[in-house]
Amino acid sequence: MGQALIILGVVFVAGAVLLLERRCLGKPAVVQPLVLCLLTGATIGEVEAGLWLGISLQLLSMGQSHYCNWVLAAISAAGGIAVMSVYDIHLAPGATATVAVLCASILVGIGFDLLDRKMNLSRSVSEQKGVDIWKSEQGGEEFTALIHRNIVRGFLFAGIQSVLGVGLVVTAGYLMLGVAAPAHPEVTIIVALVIPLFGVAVTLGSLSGRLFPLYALIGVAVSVGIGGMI
Amino acid sequence: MKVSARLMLIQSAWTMTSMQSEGFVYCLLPALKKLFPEHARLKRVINHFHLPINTHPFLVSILAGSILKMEAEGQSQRLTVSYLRTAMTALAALGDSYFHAVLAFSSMIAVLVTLAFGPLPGLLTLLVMFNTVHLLIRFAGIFIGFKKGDATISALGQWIDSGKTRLLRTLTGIAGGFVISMIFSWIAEDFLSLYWIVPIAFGIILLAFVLNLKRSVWGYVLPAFLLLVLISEVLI
Repeated sequence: MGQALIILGVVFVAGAVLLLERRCLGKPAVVQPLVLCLLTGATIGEVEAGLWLGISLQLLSMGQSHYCNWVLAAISAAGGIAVMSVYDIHLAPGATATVAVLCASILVGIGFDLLDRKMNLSRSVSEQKGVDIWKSEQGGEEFTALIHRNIVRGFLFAGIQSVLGVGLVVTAGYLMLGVAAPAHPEVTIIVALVIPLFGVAVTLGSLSGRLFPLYALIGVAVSVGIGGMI
Repeated sequence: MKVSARLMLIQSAWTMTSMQSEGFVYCLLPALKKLFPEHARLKRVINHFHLPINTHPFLVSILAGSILKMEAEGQSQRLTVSYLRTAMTALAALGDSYFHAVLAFSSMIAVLVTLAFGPLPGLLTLLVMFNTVHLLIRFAGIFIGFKKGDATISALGQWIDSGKTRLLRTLTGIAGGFVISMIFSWIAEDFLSLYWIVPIAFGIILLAFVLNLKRSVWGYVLPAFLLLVLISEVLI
C-alpha cells in the first residue's frame, strides 16, 4: 500500500511537471516522446523497450501532431514500463504486452486530447460570460493572475491525467500478459519492425505533401545502390 | 530577458475565442510597464492586443520584439494591429514548415544515426539539435525584433525563406530514406535479403502517399492499425 502510494505520488508530480511544457508553450520542445521513454528505459534498465516505445511514439507524433496528446501518451508509456518493472515485469520490443502498452498510451493521448478540447471550448464560453479582463481598470495584473491560475489548474489536471494514463496503460499491459500467450519470436520481430515503419510512413506522408516520399525513395535507392556495391 | 522567459507560458490561457492574446499581453507586460509607466496609457496600449492572436510559439518572440518597438515609437493603433495580424500569419506558416518539417525530421535522422553509438548520444542529439535552435530564436528573437521593428519579418523571410526550406526538406527527405533503409537492412539482414528492402520501402512510401491524401482519417487509421497489429500478434 505504501509503495503504491509513493508510485502514485511520483507519477502525479512527474507527469504534471512534464505536461506543463506542452500546456504552457503549446508545442512539445524539451519533452519529446523519445527523450521520455528512452530516459525512463535507461534509468530502470529497460533500454530496448524504452527505445522501441520512444521511437514508435516519436515517429507517429511527428506524422500526426493533431488529434493526440503525444506528451501524455509518452508519459503513460514511460510510466507504464517503469511501474511494471517495479513489479518485476520486463517488456521486450514487439511483444504483445509492449504493443498493448503502446496502443493504450496512444488511446489515452487521443481520449484526453478530445477532453482537453471540450474543456477549452466550455472555458471559452464561461470566460465570455464572466468578467472581461480587457475592461478591468488594473494595470495588467489581471493577466498575470489569469496565467498563474491557469498554470496551477493545468498542473493539477495534468497530474490527474498522468495518473489515469499510467493506470490504464499498466492495466492494459497486465491484461495482455494474463490473456495472451507469448507470440512466436519471428512474429515479435516483424511487429517490432512494422510499427516504427508505419510511423515512418505517417511521418513521410505529413512532411511536405506529395514530393517528400519521392525524395525518401531516392534516398532508399541510393542506400540500396551503395549496399549492392559493397 | 523577462519577456523571453514569460514567452514560455504564452499558451497557458489559450481559448478558442481569444487564442494567445491574454498570454501575449502577460508576456509583454514587464516591457510595457517600463515603456508606459502612466496607468491610462498602459491600459490603452494593452487594449491594442484585444484581438485573436495566434502564431507559432517558437517564433512569437520576434513578433513580441517588433510590436514592442512599434509601441515604443508611438505608431498608430491601426498600423500596429495591421502589422500584428499580417506578421502572426506569416510567422505561423514559416514556423510550421521549418520546425515541423525540417528541424524535427532532421533531428530524428541524426538521432537514428547517433543511436548506433548508444542511447545517451541519441538522447543528447535530440535534446541539443532540436532545442538549441528554438531556444536561441526564443531568447534572441525579442532583441532582434526590437532592433528591427516592422522590418523584422522581411529580414526573417530572407533567413528562413521558402526556397531554403524546400531545399532543406529535399535533402532531409533523401537523407531520411537513406538512413531508414540502412537501419532496416541492418536490423533485418538475418531474415531478409537486401533487395527485399526495395518493395518494402516502396510499400511504406506508397502508404505515406495514401495517408497524405486525407490527413483527417489518421485519427482513426492510427489506433485501428495498432489494434489490428496487436490482435494479429495475439492470434498468430
